[in-house]
Amino acid sequence: MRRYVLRRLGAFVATLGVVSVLVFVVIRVLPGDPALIIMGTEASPEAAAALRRAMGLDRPIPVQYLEWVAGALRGDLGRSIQYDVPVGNLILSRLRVTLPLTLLAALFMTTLALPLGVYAATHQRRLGDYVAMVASQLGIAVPSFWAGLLLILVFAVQLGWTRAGGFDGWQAGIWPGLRSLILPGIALGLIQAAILTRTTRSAVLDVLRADHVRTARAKGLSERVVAWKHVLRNALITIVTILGLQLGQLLAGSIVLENVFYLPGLGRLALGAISARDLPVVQGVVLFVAAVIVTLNFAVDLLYGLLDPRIRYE
Amino acid sequence: MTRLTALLVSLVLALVPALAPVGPATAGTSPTALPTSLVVQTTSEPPGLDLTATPASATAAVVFYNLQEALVKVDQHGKLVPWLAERWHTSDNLNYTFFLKGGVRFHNGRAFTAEDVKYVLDRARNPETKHPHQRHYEDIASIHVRDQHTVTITLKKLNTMFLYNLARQGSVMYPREALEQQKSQPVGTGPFILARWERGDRIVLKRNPDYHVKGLPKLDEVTFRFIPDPNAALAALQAGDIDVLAFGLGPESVEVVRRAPSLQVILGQTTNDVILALNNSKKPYADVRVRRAITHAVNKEEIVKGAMFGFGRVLGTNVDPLNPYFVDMAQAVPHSPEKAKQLLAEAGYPNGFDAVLKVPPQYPYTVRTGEVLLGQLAKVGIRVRLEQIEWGQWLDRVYKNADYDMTIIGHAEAWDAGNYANPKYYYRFDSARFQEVYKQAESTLDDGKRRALYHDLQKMMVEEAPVVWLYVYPRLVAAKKGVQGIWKDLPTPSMDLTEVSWAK
Amino acid sequence: MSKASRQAARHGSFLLGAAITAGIVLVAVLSLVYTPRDPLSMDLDARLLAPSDAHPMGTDQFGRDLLSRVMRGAAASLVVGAVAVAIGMGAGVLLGMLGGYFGGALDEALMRIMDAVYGFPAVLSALLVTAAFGPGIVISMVAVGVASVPIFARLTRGNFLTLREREFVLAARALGARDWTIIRRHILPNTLGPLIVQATISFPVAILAEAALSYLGLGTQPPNPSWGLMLKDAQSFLGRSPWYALFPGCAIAVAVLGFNLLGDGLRDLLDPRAS
Repeated sequence: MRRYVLRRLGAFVATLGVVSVLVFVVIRVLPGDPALIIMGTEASPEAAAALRRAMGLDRPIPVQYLEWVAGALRGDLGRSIQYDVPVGNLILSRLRVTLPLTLLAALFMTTLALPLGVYAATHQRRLGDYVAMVASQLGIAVPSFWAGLLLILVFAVQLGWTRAGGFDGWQAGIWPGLRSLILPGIALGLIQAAILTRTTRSAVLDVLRADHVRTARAKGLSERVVAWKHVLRNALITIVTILGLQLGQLLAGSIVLENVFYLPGLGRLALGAISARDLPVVQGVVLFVAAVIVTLNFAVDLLYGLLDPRIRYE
Repeated sequence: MTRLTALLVSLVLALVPALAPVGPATAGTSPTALPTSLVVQTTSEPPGLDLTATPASATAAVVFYNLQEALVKVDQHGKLVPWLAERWHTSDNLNYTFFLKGGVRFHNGRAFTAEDVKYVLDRARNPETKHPHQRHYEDIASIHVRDQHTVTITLKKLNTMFLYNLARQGSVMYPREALEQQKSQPVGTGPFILARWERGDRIVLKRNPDYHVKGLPKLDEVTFRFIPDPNAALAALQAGDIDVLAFGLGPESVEVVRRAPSLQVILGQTTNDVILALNNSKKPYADVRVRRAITHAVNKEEIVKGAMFGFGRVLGTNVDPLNPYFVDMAQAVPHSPEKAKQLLAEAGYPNGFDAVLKVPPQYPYTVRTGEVLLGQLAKVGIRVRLEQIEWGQWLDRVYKNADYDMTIIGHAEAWDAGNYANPKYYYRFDSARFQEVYKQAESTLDDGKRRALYHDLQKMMVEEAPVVWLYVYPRLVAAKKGVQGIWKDLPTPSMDLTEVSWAK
Repeated sequence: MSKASRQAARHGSFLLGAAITAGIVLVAVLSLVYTPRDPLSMDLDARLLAPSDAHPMGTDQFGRDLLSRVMRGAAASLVVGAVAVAIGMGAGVLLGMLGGYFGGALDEALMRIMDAVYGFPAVLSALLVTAAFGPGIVISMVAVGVASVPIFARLTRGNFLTLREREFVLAARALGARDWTIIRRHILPNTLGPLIVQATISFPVAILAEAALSYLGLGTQPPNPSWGLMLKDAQSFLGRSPWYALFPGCAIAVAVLGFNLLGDGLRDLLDPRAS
């Protein structure tokens, strides 16, 4: 077991290294002069050159990379060019929106998908199953930003039940803050809920066929008990795996949705930074998102190994 | 009831209060009094709040007139009025003596004096400062402080734009001790003070209790929210989250807002001329016949109808209707596909040619205008491919390097005919005659003569057609009924909130 | 439930999916030679009309016929899906093959790179790529395709690892067959099934990704019709013309549905053990 963990850890670190190189290389390819964008369109060439020097853009690329990685390990991701604050602070402040949003979407996703998936599995080939499957197929097909806009139109504009978007910050209170995140959370979690429903259903079905469940059924326990207790626990492996991967997808999906609901999260930060050629921010955010996803995958790997000792990677 | 079901039920119950009806968000109100705060939407977040470092109109919207002010001001009617300078006089149009208003203080408490004027303007004209519009100050020879409230500025030569330049956003007054914080916390003499800037979300301004105009501002607090998506912004207005949709109201939504009983539309003019810019240094656009052919091919009315839903005024030259020397030359080069094809054939392109039209989707009207243009140009054989490039790329490739065939953009600054006298500007238009006339116009003080010179300039613009002037972007503001004091016309990029208030 | 009806149900899913997919392909191909009206011609006096005889799906903000644009959009979506899947499969299978068959350090290195690429969601990598190279339908599909490489690579690699140790492969090797022959004759054919199923899953993912990218202005460029771009435009006119968004949205849903059903059906057929 320990060897497994160590090997996965090594792989994890190596992967992060590759991620950092990819991030750095791709972003360096970006055309667009950050100095010109900051100074505006009428800046003189000498002024722009001076600013470029101050930003350290004139040093050789490998040196820039090493400096950046060394800083990142210390927690220093550089300074934002447009906001003139440390990139790390920006990411943290945006996380106060993106993280709760992602968790809310995950909560919505699981509370909807798990029961639905189990229900569909235990009522396989009956009406309930078909309805659930059709609903999940539709859920996967609907683009998230589309779902978001429809929700705004119905719940905010027509009914006035929620706000149309925006985020006042947590200082206004937990409930007002969460209220701003409900609609985007639902829109974000919808597709993943549909996927999770199908995954849950097939995982539960797989387990339902296994021997020990037949035994439990033979013992005469009710269908419901069989489903909830034995099946879910065993199907958990597959479900948890997919869940972990889906958290990464949720993070990615928030990029587009933050535009629809104008939430000041990581996604909007990344889009704005690319447009403004704020290289330190772009590097920092992309590195952060990629690292989170890789970490989630790593955690899922570990969990997988823990939950099912029969499974081992090469 | 299983535990899971119980969990589900309690979750649903917990979510119910979240869905409870929400009233409009108006902070700072008491049951009988009128609201004293305002939430204003703008489309882009300022790239820093230092007006002496960036010409961005996003910065002007927040800072200009609200946080910082200049010696003179262009009011909502386009008139130059005294502001921090009470009056001025000159006998030879080379030496201007300004008498500053008394009792003006910066937000940090210090009195505003002539020394500050000297500091600010000296800094602006110093090439090392990298002021974005340094050429507006390069005609200043020297600045002499007479006393606390009197200062004399001496010019190297006559410059008719001198006073106007002192009213521009780049000429705002600020204390030297606050220079370092200009970008994130500018200090000025304006009616509002910066309370906080939540990056990526909003900027909050609060009332300046020591403002030098008694009784102003009328609001206690103003919040600028950055909402780039026009649909999201409209939804926010309809849901009551914001009070004013200052920039970014799509023309297609004007009817929707008009029909809403609790909302109003403010329709006016701006100095934002939307143009189809051509790269004069590149074939075939270097040939004036091709440029005039393109102008003939364009149906400007159709563009305003198609892209702007009829809002916007067709334009013939760079000079917009708010300019006192405006001459309506919109019909000077009439829409005529036959003439266009004829000119193209003369220039050697009987079968037309291919072109790439770059547009920045950050400004949706450029994309829509482009779509309509495509069809019109195709009718005369010019096969255009639309390429959306994001703002950073546009600035780099089109604006800085003139790496483009055609592009569409709006120029918001007033009195910018000088761009056509600058061969290095991204149009790369180089006409010695134009430059000569423009120089004369800049140094002629006689209004009659100047008017004639500007008439010449506009005639030359029509003849040479360095770009195709399409339309003036309208001032489109949506707000809750009850908000009053918002400027109807916008003679200079800004969002002046000094006199805005709520009425019953 | 009887075995027969279970078979029928599985086949039903496959058949329905195949029918829908075939329908979309047909419409897409047809649209290249015939559409009721020119998808690009504008008629400003007939903008934002409701569905009628003249325009069965109504018109857009420039008066262009929506039915014709939806049809042409099918072609765009198929191109989108095809390019992305082709890239993902092509590169992914190759890399998975190399790692899975040869193992060792090569495998480790490739897997780390795959894990890293997996950390870049399609939208984020498309943002970077289009910022570097300019937006466009092809560029963004390259980005989406690259983002799907790890999935194909893992799948291929997993299959190779398993199959590598099977008797018929060991036997072939004992008989002196060369690596490439073994791969070509014995291993690849067995991998094909799951790969095809994965392709039918990645296809609609690519279509949805294109919708998101077009919403951000990075995918298909106007005035060319694409379902995602039409949805983006339709957003601005939701109050006035709700049907404008209905048809491209439905088109996306139907396409995604078709491919998913096809994939489900295929998976059921190829691996009867799965549900």
